[in-house]
Amino acid sequence: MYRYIIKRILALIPILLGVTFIVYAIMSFQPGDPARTLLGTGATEASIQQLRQEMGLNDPFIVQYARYIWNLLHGDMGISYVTGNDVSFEVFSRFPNTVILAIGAIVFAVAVSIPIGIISATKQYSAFDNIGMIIALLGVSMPSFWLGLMLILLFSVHLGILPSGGMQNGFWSLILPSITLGAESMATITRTTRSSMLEVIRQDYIRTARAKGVPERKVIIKHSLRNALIPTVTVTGIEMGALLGGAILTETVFSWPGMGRLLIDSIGNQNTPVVLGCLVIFAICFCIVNLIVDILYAYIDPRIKAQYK
Amino acid sequence: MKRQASEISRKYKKKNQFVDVMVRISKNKMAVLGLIIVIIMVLTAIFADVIADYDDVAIKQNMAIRLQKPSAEHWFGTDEMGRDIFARIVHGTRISLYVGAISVGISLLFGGFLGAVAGYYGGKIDNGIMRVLDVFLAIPAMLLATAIVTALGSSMINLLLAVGIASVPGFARVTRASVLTVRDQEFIEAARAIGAKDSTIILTHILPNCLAPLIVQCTLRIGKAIVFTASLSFIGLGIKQPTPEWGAMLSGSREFIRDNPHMVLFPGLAIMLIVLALNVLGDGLRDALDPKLK
Amino acid sequence: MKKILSVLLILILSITVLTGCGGDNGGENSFGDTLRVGSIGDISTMDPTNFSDLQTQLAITAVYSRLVKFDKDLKVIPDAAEHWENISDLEWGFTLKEGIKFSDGTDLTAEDVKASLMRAKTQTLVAHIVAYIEDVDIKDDLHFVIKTSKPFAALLSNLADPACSILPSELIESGNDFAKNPVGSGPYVFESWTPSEKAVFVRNENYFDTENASQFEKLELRVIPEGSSRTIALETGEIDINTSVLTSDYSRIKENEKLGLYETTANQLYGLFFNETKEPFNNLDFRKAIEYAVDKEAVIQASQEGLGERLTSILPSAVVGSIDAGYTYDVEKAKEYLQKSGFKQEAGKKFVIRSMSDMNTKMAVVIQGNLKDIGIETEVAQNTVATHMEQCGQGQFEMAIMGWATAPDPDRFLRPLFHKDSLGTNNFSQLKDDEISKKIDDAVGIIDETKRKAAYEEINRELMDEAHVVPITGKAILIGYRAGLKNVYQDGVFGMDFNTIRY
Repeated sequence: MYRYIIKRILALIPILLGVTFIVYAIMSFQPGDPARTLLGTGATEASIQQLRQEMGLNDPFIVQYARYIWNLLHGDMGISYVTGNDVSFEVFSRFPNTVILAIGAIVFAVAVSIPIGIISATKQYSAFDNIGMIIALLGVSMPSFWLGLMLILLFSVHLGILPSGGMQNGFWSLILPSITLGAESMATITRTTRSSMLEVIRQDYIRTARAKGVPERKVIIKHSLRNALIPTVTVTGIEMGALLGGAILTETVFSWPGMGRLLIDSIGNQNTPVVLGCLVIFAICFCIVNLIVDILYAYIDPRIKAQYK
Repeated sequence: MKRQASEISRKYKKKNQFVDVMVRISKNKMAVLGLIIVIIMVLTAIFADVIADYDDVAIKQNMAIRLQKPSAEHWFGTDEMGRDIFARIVHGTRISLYVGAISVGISLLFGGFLGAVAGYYGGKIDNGIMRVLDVFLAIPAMLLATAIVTALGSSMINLLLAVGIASVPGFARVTRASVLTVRDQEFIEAARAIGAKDSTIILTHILPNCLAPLIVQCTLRIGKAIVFTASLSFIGLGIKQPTPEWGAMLSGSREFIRDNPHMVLFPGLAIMLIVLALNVLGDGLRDALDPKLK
Repeated sequence: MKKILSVLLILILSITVLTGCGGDNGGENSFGDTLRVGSIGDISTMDPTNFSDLQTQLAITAVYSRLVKFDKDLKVIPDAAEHWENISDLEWGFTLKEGIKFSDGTDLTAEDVKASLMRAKTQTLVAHIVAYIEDVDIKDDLHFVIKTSKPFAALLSNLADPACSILPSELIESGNDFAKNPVGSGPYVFESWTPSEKAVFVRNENYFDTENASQFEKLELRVIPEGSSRTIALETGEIDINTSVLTSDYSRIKENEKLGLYETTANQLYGLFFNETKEPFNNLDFRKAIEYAVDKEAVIQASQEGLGERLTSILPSAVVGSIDAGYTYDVEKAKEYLQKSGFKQEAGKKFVIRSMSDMNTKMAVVIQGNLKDIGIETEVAQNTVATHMEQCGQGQFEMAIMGWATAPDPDRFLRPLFHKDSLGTNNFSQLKDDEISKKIDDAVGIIDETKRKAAYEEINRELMDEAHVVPITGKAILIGYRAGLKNVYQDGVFGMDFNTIRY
């Protein structure tokens, strides 16, 4: 088992290098001079040139990139072009907020989708099934930022019972953003759960269990669920990766102080160190989540477990 | 003689296949509804100029009638510049479908090519291509698109590229999976034995068999591309003013959400409707083309 | 299963409805010990010489003192300095107030002023503000003379800039990182900063201006970037002050009896700039045609709901030298000038109007419509601030919406925008006019107020006659606050004093 984990962690490195290189390359194409932006309007040409020299902006691309990677390996993500603070400070002060949002979204998605998926499958073609599937469809079709705006309109503007943004109100602040971010995942997981449950229920061994007289509840939970959950777990893992991207939009709509907004603002300011810092963290999280999903997968699927025993 | 016979039977089978699929879809009410909606949207896009003149209605500002609620004269009300929202949504259809279709076309080309090559040759090439795709998957699509558009400018080409890149790994995966199932079959071996070139084999034998999942992918991806474009416009990159792109319309109306909710309602509904239709159609196609359910 | 789910759902809904979301405010008219301020953005640092955004400015002026500062109407008033006089062309004598202490207990003396100003000269971001300050001659702890390299009438307004905040000289010498450890003599002391959320300050119990000590024990600057959310937060009592009320929320706040609204306009030039190295923008008649074609009222209506200053020349009304250049919205005249210029609209060719924000774009779209009416085709391109400034500075544009806000000194407008030395940075029009540059240089040295006014009016008129810019508006400053608070205001350069607010 350990070997597998180590192998996966090592696989992180080329991915991180690839990610940082691609984005570094793209950012370097941006017109605009970070030194000029920093100094703002009202700065002299001389001071701009001096700052460029200080920031090492006149060195060739490869040199700048190599310097960045070298520093990264020493845990130094550089300094924000906008505030002058350590990038690690900027990123890590917002990172927990995005994680909280992501967890909220996934909890919402899973808590809603698995029961709905199971019930829809066991009561296929019933009204519940149809409504459930329609809700799932809507979740996949609605642009998340629009859903967020609609939720704000209903719950904050009209009813006035939930905050329209920010993190100030603790748990209450988390509700709408979680729903917004988790809606699409919820839809996908519901459909996956439903279809895999449908497949499992049709299997012979389920029929056997029923024939033996096992109560329906036990049939579903003990016998079907475990196998049906395998694709669900996979999909959940994939969705978590997608969440990081979706967080960017949700954080914008709800003014959530997370990495997503930091990222967008930094791209706009050509704040390359911060962009790269966020990305590195994103990529690491993405790989870790995939790793956890794979391990979970191994535990749930006895066939894979057997391989490693 | 033999060749003619096989050609005839191939054509006959194809036609039959198509009719077959159509029949199966028609049994799925949702899918039919989706198809109808898609057709309506496409027609709206084509005849947008007839429904509402671009210059005179969609982009003409008129401060005197700004921020009006829906009425008989302005079905969806007016926006903050006094422009008729219904007309803007109609023209927005054109842009969304255009960007959606072309960017997916780009993804299909690149993704399909990569997936076919990876699946067919296997081994190191397969590994290599998949690793590169993994890197792209580790970057949130939103971020990559934003970086591309910010760096290279928000021209239409860059936008198509940015939106297209997001779907490439998906197409590659699907193509690769299909190629893998077909690759080891006997008729491929036979073709190779005759001495057919790799490119011929891939193009004439393997890819046609991958059509089904690819068509489904396309339908679903166009919906995703439309939402993606709207998202980019929402955060300020994307289509330029005064072009009425749905996502840009949503972004512009945020500050008016309290007194003029209609400005936020209609563009969002439009997006949702077309994506819903495409998803339902895609699902229907997937079911109809699935040999297991025959 | 279904039953359990539905019961749970009802429970959750009812709890939600019953408890709702309260603001952390006790009653309608009561105020706690914290003044909670909602801003559109976050502060970026606590180092007075290393920032350029307006939110940070609020924090800096809360924590540090300067020699002088601006009052509501942008007149220079004493801060740490008690008295000053212009001794000679190049010398200004200052007397500090007695007994000013920094928050670490040390005394504020002339030493500290000198060290702070010299330090500012080395900081790339703000060096240009103190560029003309040659040296500081210390007479004793409370008396010193500032020597300038040229006669510099704007010295005082530059000294009021937060960049000239007074820092303890010992800390400067010891290399203190003021961004993390700000030590000042202002009405508040920095306590903590949670990025993207809020910055917290406590009352400075040793503040020298005891009359104006803060009534509130704490000051919180909160980040609420979304405009409508900010207004909602004010309405529900979650915050006490909203420093950037959206123009579209103007009536809502004005009509709300529980809220007050302070209105003024920024000391700012927002206008359409031309790149005069490109055809046909080098043609005076073409530019004049555009001056008459732009419906400024409509532009202001679309971008600011009709609020904000109507500019009639390059300099806003609060600045010496402001005039009425006489360009009105006159489509016929515009067409006349266009014909005179000999311009022919080519099919398919569109000029690009550049913008860098949503508000800009709204302005640009209206202008686009105006130009279309007289037969000029354009398209609007919105970019990020960084890209926009770079491209415009380098002359890679045709037309652009630019905003320029600074201290109410005409030199701070004219020099960066039109002096030939500013080519490549902020001289967007790409003007290489030696005569104008000389006039700008000469005007800086005029001390006599009447002569100064005349000189700047002349420059302004000349620039407007040559139609280098279409000046449109200065942003409306709207501060929303809970009724019951007094003395809430912001000055034209977006500065705010929180310590003078009373309830």
